[in-house]
Amino acid sequence: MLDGDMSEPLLEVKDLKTFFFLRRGVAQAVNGVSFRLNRGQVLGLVGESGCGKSVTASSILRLIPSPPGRIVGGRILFHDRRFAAAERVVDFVELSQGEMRRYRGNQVAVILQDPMTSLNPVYTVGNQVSEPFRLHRRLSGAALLKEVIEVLKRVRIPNPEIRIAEYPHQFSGGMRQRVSLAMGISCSPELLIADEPTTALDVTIQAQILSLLEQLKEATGMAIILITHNLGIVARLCHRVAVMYAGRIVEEGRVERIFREPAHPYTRALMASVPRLGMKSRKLFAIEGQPPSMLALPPGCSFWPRCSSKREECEKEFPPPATIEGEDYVRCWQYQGRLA
Amino acid sequence: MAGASVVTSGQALSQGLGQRVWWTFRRTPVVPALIVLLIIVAALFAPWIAPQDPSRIDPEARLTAPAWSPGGSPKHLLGTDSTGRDLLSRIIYGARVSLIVAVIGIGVSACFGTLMGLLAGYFGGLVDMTIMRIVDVMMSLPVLFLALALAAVIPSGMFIIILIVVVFGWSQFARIIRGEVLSLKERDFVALARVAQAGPWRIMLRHILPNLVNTLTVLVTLDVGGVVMFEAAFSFIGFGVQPPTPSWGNMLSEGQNYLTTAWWIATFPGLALMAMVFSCNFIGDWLRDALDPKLRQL
Amino acid sequence: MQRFILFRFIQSIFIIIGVLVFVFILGRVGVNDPAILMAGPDAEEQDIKEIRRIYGLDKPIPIQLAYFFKELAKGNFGRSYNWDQPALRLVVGRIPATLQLALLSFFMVWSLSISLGVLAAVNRGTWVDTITRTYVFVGQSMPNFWFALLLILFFGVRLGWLPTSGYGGIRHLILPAMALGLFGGAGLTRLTRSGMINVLDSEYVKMARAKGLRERTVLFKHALKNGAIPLVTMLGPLLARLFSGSLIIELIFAWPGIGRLTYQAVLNSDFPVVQCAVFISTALLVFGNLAVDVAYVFIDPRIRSFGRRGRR
Repeated sequence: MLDGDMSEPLLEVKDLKTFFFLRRGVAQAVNGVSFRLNRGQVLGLVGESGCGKSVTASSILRLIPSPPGRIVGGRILFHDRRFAAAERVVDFVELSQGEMRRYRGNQVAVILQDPMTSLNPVYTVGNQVSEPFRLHRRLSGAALLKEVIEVLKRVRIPNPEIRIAEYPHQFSGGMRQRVSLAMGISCSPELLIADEPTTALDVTIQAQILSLLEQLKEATGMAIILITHNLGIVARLCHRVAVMYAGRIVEEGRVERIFREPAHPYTRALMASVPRLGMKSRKLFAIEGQPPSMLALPPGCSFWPRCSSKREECEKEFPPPATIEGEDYVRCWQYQGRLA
Repeated sequence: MAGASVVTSGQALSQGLGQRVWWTFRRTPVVPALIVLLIIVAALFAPWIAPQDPSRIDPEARLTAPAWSPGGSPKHLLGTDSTGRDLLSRIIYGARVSLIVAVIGIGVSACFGTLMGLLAGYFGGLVDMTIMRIVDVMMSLPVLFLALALAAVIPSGMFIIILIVVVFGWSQFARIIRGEVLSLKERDFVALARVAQAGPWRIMLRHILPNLVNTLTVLVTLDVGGVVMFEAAFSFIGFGVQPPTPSWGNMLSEGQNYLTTAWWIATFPGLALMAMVFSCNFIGDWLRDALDPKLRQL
Repeated sequence: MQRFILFRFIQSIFIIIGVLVFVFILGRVGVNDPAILMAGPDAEEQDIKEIRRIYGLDKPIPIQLAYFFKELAKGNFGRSYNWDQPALRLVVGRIPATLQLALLSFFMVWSLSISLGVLAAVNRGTWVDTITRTYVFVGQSMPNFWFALLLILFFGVRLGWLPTSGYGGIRHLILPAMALGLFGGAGLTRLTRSGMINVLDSEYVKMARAKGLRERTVLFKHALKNGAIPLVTMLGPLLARLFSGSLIIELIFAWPGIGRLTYQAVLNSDFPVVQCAVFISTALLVFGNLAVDVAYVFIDPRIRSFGRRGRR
């Protein structure tokens, strides 16, 4: 992929911890997650269901439902260039909800997984797509209409002039996802968080949406956090990928390297479980065991009950990051002290 | 970053035995069930439980206050009414009325309604349309007005109440049962029964009906409250159970005149009513949650 | 959609006709011989025969039915035996009073109950929620006539703030309206609360927040309209309940409405009035339900495309 300069940081998440305080106990959904996203980069966030990917995304936007959930620690540093002449670094964790609202839908946008339920069924598509424009760019009347039609064209919805008066149920799943994308990119976000954007779609539609995402990224230079459990998508779109397990990132690195030489046992297992054409063995590889419940995490590295290379240290303490190459790292006791 | 979690799992779960007991208590309807049981027992064994004869008039003991108030006596725990009849005994006998009306009324309307629902759901087509039109109509009528009109012709008493309960009550059963039947009809066991040349009646009764038990139980339980209240209302306005037969409804009506002078005459029957309806509703709701369709039928 | 409305309209007409026939039959059945009733207590055999002839009561029932409907078309429901006035005029004269009661109760119920339901949903788990849930349970278990008596006892007698009977201004309406609205209100609150909880958990609400919309906008624009949908289905039964319940409330508070009139008419076997009252109340109810169904179509755009969503 030929991209522009991607060395300027946009988002720095440091040691983020989001817990849910339930009657049954405390669920440590995000347990010390750190990563950095540069402008124009695409970061994939992969892991099994329930590993905390979506909660991480919600935490970045400060959309955690607050009676049970709360961000208990860490920082979410956003390099804001829109509200002042010079770049300012803002910690989202410190902001009030009112202050966060200026960023949501504006510099940071989201698209969610299920197109069937992410659009409000009782309002027209035009109405919903126009909201970010009205809110953040204060448009109205003819100017608003023009922008709405324009953005719908950009996501390749045919006949937008007619369709803005229609309701979500009159659109197919793929079309609805495009509408969600339109809502997301409307105010030219610098960061788009895509939470499993294609999981609920047919394979052919998936491909269309992905290529649309690619094009939009090229055109606007926005950074994307792509949350998925589908490694194929990661391979296609992402520059870097972070592998999550039980609320923690166990390995992060450039896509080529991770696919070529996955370091962490979990990553290796994930790669192995993807069926490939030309595979000799008939049996599909599956990781033994179940992911742990967030309410009752084993001490130490959460993966050791299922790990084939576990050692003594694993049960006691979660390993610190060990650099593999450049900025790529892995958190596994196997690599401590062995790699530079 | 240390590997130790902020809160270990063991700590989080040790909420203490007391809390767990309380939580379970809140989820199972122990108290309401006891109340309903109490009322049923009172109704069944009234002659042995009631301290006095509910119809015994005692002019000297008129308007006695409840035992704990000034002027009360332990002979009449809850006081007496305007003719000296013991309130507690009347309340106990009143439970009989409520129960009889509920059992017979709901029994018949549930049976008929279920039958209609089965027919409509299973046969579909014209049968379905006809039955459902009738159900629609029944459900959009002003019940109390029509009940009054009936009262002009049919003599007051338990009969007319039960009649009204049945005539206006079956439609709600029919509608819901029909819905259930429609979905059950598509299931495999029905197809298998058809293949085995089972006739429609056999399929309906032997295969579909047993799967309706859960829904029916919930419906019936939730209906008891409404029926008991209707009986009370109708007796209250004078067209239901007539004095001297005690019904919580007609006792309330009597009490209306003595609201300021003898508050107990209206209050205790009202409390009994509320307790009954509340308990039935509570149990019904709990049943509805507990008998989740995914679980086995009762 | 137009076909649907037309169909329901025709159905409503049929219902009313059916009810009329029903009450007509009641009026001719058994104990209640209209001729005797009309003639009064000290009439003689001759007078009764005369009355029979005049009113065509000696003709077979189907012919009587035909006469009945013919007169109906002219707006003539007969004369009240008791009050000696045209029945229709009597009944129609009482409509405003009942309507006042029902409307005030309706508005009180709607505004208070829905607000309570929304508050409880938004503040789940707090004391607001607990109080609301208690109210819901108690409200659905308490007979509204008992509640009325309690209200009278406290507000009317002990505190003396509000009048407890009779016709008058707003002050006379408050207690009856409260008593009337209790049951329906509790049900509405419960439905609102559970509906809103579902809606607030939905993906599109999450999206709305993610777009940066103010919480107030999220609630009132996105959440409420969707939460209102199940409420509209409750409107019909609510209307019916308010209507049926108004009867007893009118009696307790001596409110001069249709319900009270009907009651008195029944006591006096005054059939023309009973017939007319039942007709009017059924008509009001049935067309009220029709209006609700039409409103439902406008709120949920999905119905416009698919027709009746198989509610039946």
